Amino acid sequence: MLTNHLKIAFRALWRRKFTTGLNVIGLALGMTAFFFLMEFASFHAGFDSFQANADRLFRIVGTTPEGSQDNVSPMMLAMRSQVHGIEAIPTFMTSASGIVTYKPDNASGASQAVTFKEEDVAYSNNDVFKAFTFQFLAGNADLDKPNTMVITASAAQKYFACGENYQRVIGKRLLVANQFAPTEYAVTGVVRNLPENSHLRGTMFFSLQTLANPTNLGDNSWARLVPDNGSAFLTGYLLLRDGTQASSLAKQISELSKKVDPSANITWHLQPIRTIHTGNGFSDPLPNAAALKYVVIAVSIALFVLSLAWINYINLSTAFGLSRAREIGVRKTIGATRGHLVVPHLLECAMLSVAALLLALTSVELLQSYFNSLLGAELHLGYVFQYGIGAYGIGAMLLGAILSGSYVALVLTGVKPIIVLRGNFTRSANGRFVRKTLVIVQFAVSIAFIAGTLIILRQLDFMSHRDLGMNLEQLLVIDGPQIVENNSLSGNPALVFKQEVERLPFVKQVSGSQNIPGQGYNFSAQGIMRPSGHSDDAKQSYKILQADENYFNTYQMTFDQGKGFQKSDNLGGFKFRSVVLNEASVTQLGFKSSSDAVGQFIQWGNPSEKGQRWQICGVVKNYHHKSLHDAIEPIIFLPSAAATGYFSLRVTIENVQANMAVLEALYKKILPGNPFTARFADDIFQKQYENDVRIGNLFAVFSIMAIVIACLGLFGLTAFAAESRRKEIGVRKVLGATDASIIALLSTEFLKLVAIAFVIACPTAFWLMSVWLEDFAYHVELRSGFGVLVFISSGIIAALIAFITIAAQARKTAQANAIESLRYE
Amino acid sequence: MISLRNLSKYYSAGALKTYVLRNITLEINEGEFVSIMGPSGSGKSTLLHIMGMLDEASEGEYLFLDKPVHKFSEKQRSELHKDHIGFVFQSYHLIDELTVYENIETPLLYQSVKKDERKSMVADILDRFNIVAKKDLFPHQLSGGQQQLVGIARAVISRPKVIFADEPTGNLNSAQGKEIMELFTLLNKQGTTIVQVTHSESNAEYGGRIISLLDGWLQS
Repeated sequence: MLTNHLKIAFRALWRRKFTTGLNVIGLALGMTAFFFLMEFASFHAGFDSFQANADRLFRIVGTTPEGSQDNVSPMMLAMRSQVHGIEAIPTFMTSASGIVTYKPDNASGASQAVTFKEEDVAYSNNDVFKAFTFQFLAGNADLDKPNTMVITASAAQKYFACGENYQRVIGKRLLVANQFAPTEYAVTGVVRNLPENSHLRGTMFFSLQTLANPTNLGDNSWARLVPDNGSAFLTGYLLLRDGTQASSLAKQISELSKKVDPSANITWHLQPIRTIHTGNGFSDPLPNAAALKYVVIAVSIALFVLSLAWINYINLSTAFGLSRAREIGVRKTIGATRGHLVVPHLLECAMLSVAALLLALTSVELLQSYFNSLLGAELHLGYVFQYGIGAYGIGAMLLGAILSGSYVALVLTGVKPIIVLRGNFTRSANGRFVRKTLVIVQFAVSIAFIAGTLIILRQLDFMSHRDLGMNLEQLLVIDGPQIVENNSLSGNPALVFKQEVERLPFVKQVSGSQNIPGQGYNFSAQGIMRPSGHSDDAKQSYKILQADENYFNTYQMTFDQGKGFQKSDNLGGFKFRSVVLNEASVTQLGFKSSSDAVGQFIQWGNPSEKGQRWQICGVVKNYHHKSLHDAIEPIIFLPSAAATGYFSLRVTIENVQANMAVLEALYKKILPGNPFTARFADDIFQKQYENDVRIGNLFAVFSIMAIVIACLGLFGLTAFAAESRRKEIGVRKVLGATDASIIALLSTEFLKLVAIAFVIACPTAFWLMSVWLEDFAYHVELRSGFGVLVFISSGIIAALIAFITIAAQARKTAQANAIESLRYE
Repeated sequence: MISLRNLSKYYSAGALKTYVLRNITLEINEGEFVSIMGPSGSGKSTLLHIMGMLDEASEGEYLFLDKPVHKFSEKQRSELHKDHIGFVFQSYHLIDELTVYENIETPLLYQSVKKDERKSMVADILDRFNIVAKKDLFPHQLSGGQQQLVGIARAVISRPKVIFADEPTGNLNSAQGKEIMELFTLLNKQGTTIVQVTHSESNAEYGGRIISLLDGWLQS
């Protein structure tokens, strides 16, 4: 019986290849989008779930009335002996980035030293490896001893080219040069790379204990490992013993905290590590990556797209059901009950679903890398099946298949045989209304997506063409050295490098600065004010950037008033004779105008001390130091001839490759041991828009998807209308109607639906995109000719695509032989 | 076997009733071969559909094998229909996706006849109707006469007490029509009651009794 049913279901599907094809493609499209979105959602929802101790592992967070703080070193050091119920206290200090060098010992031959700049590195204790899940490929963790380290497989391969033989790496030593004194660490263990969905990052873990030695600490007294050190430089976690209540432990810690520092007004929390990425709900007061909104958005879109696809299936199946109704009527007259008829339809639906599923899985497999590059992520199908949320998703998918299959089966098998056999079978106005509503919704979504895409693209274009107030073209940025060995004969080699570069024929200008546009400042400072200022002025925050005297002309910024500072304006030891402001600072400091400000003084700290009172020598016009997401902030530029964090070079356009090689050779010669990194300033600046570009790409993809699904639905509806108005069209043709007039007759009805969709989509998209644009301090204006144009063109694009879909179907009907359609009676 | 008493059928459009059948009283006995005749729109097909339990009367009584069909639920009616009634249509109404063999077999599937029994029953019918060679063809590969043969085979396979035929030769040429009518005669001789609707005097002659309808009224 079953094979019989299967055979017949297959034949039925095969006979209606066209409808079957539309159904499979529509469903597969929906499922493909569903899988991609669920991958994304599961990836974020499942963050840190791989941790074996996830249920017992918490991050310690302190909150004060002003905000929250996850760096809590003083407490952590005190806790170990005084709080009960703790199994381990994993501790990190992440401000460790620096240059790491491997110098092979002489015994292993004359191979070159290997040097890289490492960002993702941390100091930690040995509890980290007890509490967090790490898979050791060789050796083990021994971080309670000084000068030891654990590295990941990728780091091991990078430095030691060890292939899969990680055992070889154990005992090898790496020299680390960062803000602490250069120190050597021996590798005691190699671990597998941390999974992508771990909030904990890192490729190297140095023993924190190393910094207990004052020699290794250098002049960084803030990082002394003693409980009474007030600095909050450590991030701490707790692994609770089985059965310990997190809430009671938090209370114990708060009590201890009052003992340690009675004046501190801190509330202590234990944050479950699984909530660090998503947050514990939307209004979690503790610091988190707030990824829950992405999960919710992705799951909503996933379910939305999937239900659109299933409804499309219903739409197409019931619309094309006309031809099947006769068969069902016949079967009923030869004795079929409804039960007999439902099973084959469910089987058909199941076969369609399986075909669509296979097609979707294949598409996911084929398009995965493309999708990943759109998102800048490393997703795969495995995530969907790994965590609970994926199981719910699959459940939803099955449920959709069963519901829509049953609905179609019930609708089709519900017909009375007599009505069908008499030949005047028409569908209820109800079903027609449902289908029309569906088309409106689908087109509203499509128009909104198209409008969204156009607005995002326009905003991206706006950002890349806006006058930034400086010139980033032909500007090369070279990272300054981290390892600097002062040579008493020639002075600071970084400055020597700068001088040498200045002499190169292809270099027009060079500037050294501690940070660069598109990246950041040195630091933020409060307490800077005019001597006549009010005490409240001290609460204003200013961005501080240290740069040399060539900074302004190298970046081709313009002065509103005055001029830049001189080399001699730096009095040494963070004391300055004169400084430069931007216009935003002038306003915030309360000057009437730039000309009012130039020549005036501002002060920071004790004004009676020399160099704490700064004369304003110039005001530079506002320029976009950061992306257009951010409003221009008040900046104070401090003269620093010795600023060597970054070198910015204005270079000629020719022979970029060759010139780069010259620069690299010079860099390696003068600053040995430092990796050479050169980037173009406009690339650095554009990198800030990476996420925006990704969102634009995603929107474009989903627009196409939405419109294709919408067109499938529309196609079904047109086919249905054409079929049920066959006789009317036949009569009209006999009376002399042209093909064109019949196409117009059929199209107008549906273009009306698109028009209604347009009316719904515009305000919705307007509102959503306004919210998105609010994220940019400088953005395109939707309440303008541009906005009107975007919405109208989105409507026209959707209408045009809809018209093509309809016309293709209508033309077929219009050209059909009128006599054929009339003879049907 | 079939007993209609004061049976009427009308369609209501607002306050207006359009009668299709009016006050029909009729007896058809087991083993009869009855032809229903009348001009277009006289209500012949509706009468056939009501007798075949595909449609319901608006008023009056209908007894089938002494059972009050007019009081039955749709489900009961379809049970009765399934067990005792076969239908033959003017436009054959074969199922396009099924082969000749499968078309004929389908009613047996719905009656849950066992596989082996099904096989022998279908083989027997194919043999009797002389269409063994066509058993794996699909309907569109057959001529009209052949399709109608399959339609009749499908109607008789479950050994119904009565066959209702709605202009069974309407789409056939005269030679094919003759063949079909001879088949009906044969089936009737073997004991099956046959009720056919026809336009053709010559086809009506095959039957033992002619019932005439005009504007929904029973004539004679």
